[in-house]
Amino acid sequence: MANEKVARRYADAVFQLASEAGAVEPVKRDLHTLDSAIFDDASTREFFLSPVIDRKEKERVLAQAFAGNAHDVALHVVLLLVRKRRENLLREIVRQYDALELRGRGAEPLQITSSSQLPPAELHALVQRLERIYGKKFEVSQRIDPSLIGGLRIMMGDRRIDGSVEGRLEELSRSLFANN
Amino acid sequence: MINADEIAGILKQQIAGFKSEIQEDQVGTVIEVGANLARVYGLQSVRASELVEFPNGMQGVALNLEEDNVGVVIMGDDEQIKEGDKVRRTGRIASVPVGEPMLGRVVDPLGNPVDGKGPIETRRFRTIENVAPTVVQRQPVKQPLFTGIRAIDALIPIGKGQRELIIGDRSTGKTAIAVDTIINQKGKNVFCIYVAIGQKNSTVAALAQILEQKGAMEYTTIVAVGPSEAAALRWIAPFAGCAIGEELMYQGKDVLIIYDDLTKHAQSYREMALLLRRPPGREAYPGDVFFLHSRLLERAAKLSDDLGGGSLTALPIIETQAGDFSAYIPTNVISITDGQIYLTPQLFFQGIRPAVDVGLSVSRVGGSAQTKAMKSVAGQLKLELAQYRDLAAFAKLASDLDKATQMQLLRGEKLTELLKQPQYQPMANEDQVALIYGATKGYVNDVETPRLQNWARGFLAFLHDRHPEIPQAIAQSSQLSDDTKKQLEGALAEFNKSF
Repeated sequence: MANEKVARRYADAVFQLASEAGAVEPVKRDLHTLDSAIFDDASTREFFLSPVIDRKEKERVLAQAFAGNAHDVALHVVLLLVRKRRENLLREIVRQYDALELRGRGAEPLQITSSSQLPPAELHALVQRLERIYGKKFEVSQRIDPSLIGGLRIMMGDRRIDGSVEGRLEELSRSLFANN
Repeated sequence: MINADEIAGILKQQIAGFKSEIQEDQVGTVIEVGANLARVYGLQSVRASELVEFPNGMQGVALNLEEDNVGVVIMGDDEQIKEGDKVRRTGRIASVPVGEPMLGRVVDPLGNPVDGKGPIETRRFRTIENVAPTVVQRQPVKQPLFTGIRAIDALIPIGKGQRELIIGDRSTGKTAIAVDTIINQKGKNVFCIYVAIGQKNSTVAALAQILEQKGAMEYTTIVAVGPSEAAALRWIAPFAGCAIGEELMYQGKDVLIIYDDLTKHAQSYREMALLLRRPPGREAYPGDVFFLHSRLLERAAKLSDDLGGGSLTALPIIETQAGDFSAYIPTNVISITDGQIYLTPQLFFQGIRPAVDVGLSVSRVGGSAQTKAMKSVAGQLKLELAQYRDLAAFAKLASDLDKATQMQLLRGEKLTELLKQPQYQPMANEDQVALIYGATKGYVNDVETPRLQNWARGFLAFLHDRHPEIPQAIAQSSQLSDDTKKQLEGALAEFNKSF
């Protein structure tokens, strides 16, 4: 909760810096690299999050490991978080940064869930059609969820368009219970 | 009984007619759940107080709309709700089923029956929060609402559309007054709603049974929410009860609603507000707890004749701690209502029941609603009781008193004795008038105090048996004409000879 707010402030600052440097894309890429490098491995994660390990030591190790491999802005974010004892904010900052980057491009996230893999041509046609209807650009992410049984479920922000068999069954059960 | 074939037939029909269109709705994601409260991410365009639905059909109210999340109070058990669950907007504000089929039933704050008497057949719904009638939609309180309790009807009269607070410590008979008032509405075309907020379920069951026995349940709805249920349900209970009453009021009917009790209501609201991290104020109640109660009680009204002239009379109950009337919630509700009935444990344990402290109790608007007959006898009663209270305080210090003072003390004692009344025995207004007339005119002076209750019972039986025209005349004209007074005095003298 409070974390989200703090993370947004950080993400705002990072995004502004990256835009000024004209490096929105590389910073995004490197933030994701850092994020997965630190959090995907249990021991590095523990090293990074542990309050017991000395801050200077953390800074030194991180600077050594990533210097030259990551964009300055991305690396400085991680180092600043260590100095400010805000290591746990990294994931949320990356998420917020992605949202800012998306908005900067004038695009909106669109999640398409289907019960089986959609053919690329069909997916493309679908997204094009949605973009025409809503007059927006979409950043598409795809998910496969067999529990849908059939059809599609589309999430645009908090708007849900449900054309799946599962959704219809849910609606049916709702209407049956409501009449009792 | 419905059989399996019929059910299958209905289902078939419904499934055939089921719209298989793509549906679009707005959803959010639960990011935190606990203490019957969920924080939901998303739901960006949800409105304040809108109903939202969780996957298992559980409903909630969006109360806190914050920068990046929505605080939802869950109306029920939060155990089945998990982090990541999708929460759906419904576009509706919380509402309850209303109308005459609700009478005779015990329901929860969402209008679901909890008395095991089957579903409630009503199609009308009413939102639980409504704007109170405006100035032009009202008229002054002018008709009496009889509680059937002598001490109240004579000294603290209540009018239709009034809000009269019943306040006192625990177990001083607050609910008893409310219940007697409900029982007394039998045959008077007044509908009653009893809202039990956080009362023990056993108490509510006992109450429903008593009302049933007294034949009062047929015109009464009980809205009950137990102490083990979610705070959100306790919070909406009085509003739901009020909505049920309002529906009848706008149909031009007279309604009596009892909120038992608003102390627990305020505590439930405080619980929710603190969990929602709203800033605490005095006694840790949120800043808008006054507004919470004032907007609820403001919905009690006597409607203008253009709107049908219906009324909603509210009797909120407040429980005090060790007689502390100056705590936050008691003072709030005292200032909102049109008067209060004080009950004190001292009187209760002296055996003066109902334990109404007639010195501290007031009715700010009920006086204009009192019948002329009652007004003409109550004035004398009030005066004598006031003098008695003054003297009684001094008499404790003085060793021997002059004759006149002794006489006055004795009369005060007798009048106080006569205002005692057993539970579940409300008394008709005309009987009260006859009794008080007799007492203030000195017809009880020769009756020993312990025998007064017997005298009262005997006299009323005698009156109805031998002179039924007297109470009839009082009831019909609602005043005490000189003729009736003479007849009444004759009857009193006649009865005293034989007593």
